Amino acid sequence: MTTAAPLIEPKLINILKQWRCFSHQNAENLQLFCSAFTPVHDSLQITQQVLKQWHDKPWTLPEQPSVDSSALSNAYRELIDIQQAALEKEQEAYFRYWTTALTNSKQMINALQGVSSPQQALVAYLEANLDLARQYQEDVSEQLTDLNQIKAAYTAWWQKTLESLQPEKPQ
Amino acid sequence: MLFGYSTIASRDGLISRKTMNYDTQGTSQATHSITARLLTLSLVLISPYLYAQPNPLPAYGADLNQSSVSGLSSGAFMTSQLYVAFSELMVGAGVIAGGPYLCAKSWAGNTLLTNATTTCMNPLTASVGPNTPELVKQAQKLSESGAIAPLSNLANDRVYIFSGTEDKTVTTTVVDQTYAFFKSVGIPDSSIRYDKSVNAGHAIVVTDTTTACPLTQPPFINDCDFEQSNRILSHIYPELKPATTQNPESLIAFDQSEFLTSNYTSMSKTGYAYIPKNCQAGQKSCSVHIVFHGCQQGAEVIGDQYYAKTGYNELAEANDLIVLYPQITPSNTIPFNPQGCWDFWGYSSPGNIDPDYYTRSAPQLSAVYKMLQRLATPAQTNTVPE
Repeated sequence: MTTAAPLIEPKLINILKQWRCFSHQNAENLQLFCSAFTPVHDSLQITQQVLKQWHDKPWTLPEQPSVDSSALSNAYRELIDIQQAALEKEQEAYFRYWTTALTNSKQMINALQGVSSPQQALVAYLEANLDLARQYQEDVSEQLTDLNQIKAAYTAWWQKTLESLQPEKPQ
Repeated sequence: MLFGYSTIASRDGLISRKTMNYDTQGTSQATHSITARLLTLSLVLISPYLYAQPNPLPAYGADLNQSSVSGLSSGAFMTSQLYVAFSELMVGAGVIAGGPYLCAKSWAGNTLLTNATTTCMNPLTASVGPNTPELVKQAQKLSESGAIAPLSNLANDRVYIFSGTEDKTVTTTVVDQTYAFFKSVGIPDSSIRYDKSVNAGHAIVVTDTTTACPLTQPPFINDCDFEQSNRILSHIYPELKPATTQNPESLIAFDQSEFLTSNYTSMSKTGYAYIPKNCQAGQKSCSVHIVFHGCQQGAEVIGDQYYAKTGYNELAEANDLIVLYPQITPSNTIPFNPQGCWDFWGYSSPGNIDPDYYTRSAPQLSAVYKMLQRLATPAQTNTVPE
């Protein structure tokens, strides 16, 4: 007695479930991302902080003759460090995307080898693409973190430089 | 569990009396009686889960003048906040992978959240890390205004600081500034133990767990062949006796909610405390050590792994030290705290562009202070301190 093959490949049902779960997780993540995105609040907070800081220690663009050369060269050196670090981060991100694409292409080719039915081909395709989507999501998340780091660094450098270039007030 | 059990007992009593009434109405209602008994039995069995409510935190007449605090990651930031704001009570602190006090206020051009997640965790370069000179100035102003205790209280204290060489979450660049901050506010170098030589990931270190030392993964409790709780407590209390066995009955759950004055603290309903036998008896006025877990480490996320298995309780039992474990719960809406972190950027004051999360009246800090006051209240008295 032989058992009949199931109408739908069990692996196909499984991978569809995984895709559904992945989509659900993405929707939740998007909702969290939107909750964290508060542009008006952020602008007001920055404005308030900058005004407070300016009140305590007024920043003005320094006049040419009074610029402290050592402060200026220090600021310049720090800027170069930031730019180098930012460049490295961007290169790392491109490298990650490139690795992900390459790995996935190989995975896709391997998965489609030895496939004996259209359903198995579909399973292989969906599995490879799910891995790709997950990996790209991680890459994007990491790049967003890097960009946030870079933006925060330039902002901090700007404040630090303005403060360091202020002429010393007589006691 | 006295409070919870009494509630459960009264509900069960009510159901039992109703069942007896069924029984007096003759045999024709026997079926109803059996059904009612089954209903009663099932309610008795599930009632602890339905109605379980943690007890109020008991009073033990603790001695708050020898208090100390420690924590990991967001718990380490919280440690600095509690330690500096209530320094009149403190004799020391243990900061594991945490930045300096007020760190999120480092750079005015960034939001508090941006500073918290970049400057205070993994800055692009060391020059744009925590702005310690500015933070010291701000702390001095707060101290002068009375919003926090005088910074001069810190001079005689002992502080332990730790940063793992494999920690990419809160890097050594940031933790270096914690060390610089404490030195700037007057803690002598000889009183600070700064350990940055271990190849640990972002975690609290213990001797017996499955996570290898260099990893950074949940539950963020790593095996690096030493007990970090021991190093922290033995640095703060140099006369510390060796650990002994913890007594399971000494670990209590308590109701945190009675100490909260805001709906946005993200603090769990239940907190935990370890009360050594000698401190329970009321014969001794014990000191208190507060332990703050890190993000994704609250009891609702990792169970008892932090409050029962990080080695604090064994030391507490041997040294008559009460250990308080306040708890945070993740929140995806308002307040926005999806990772269940302690507040070091202002989420507990949603909508406020200048949130207070660092002074004595901050929502989370004031709640923990009230817990301390309760522990210090003479035994047999259970009122919420004003």
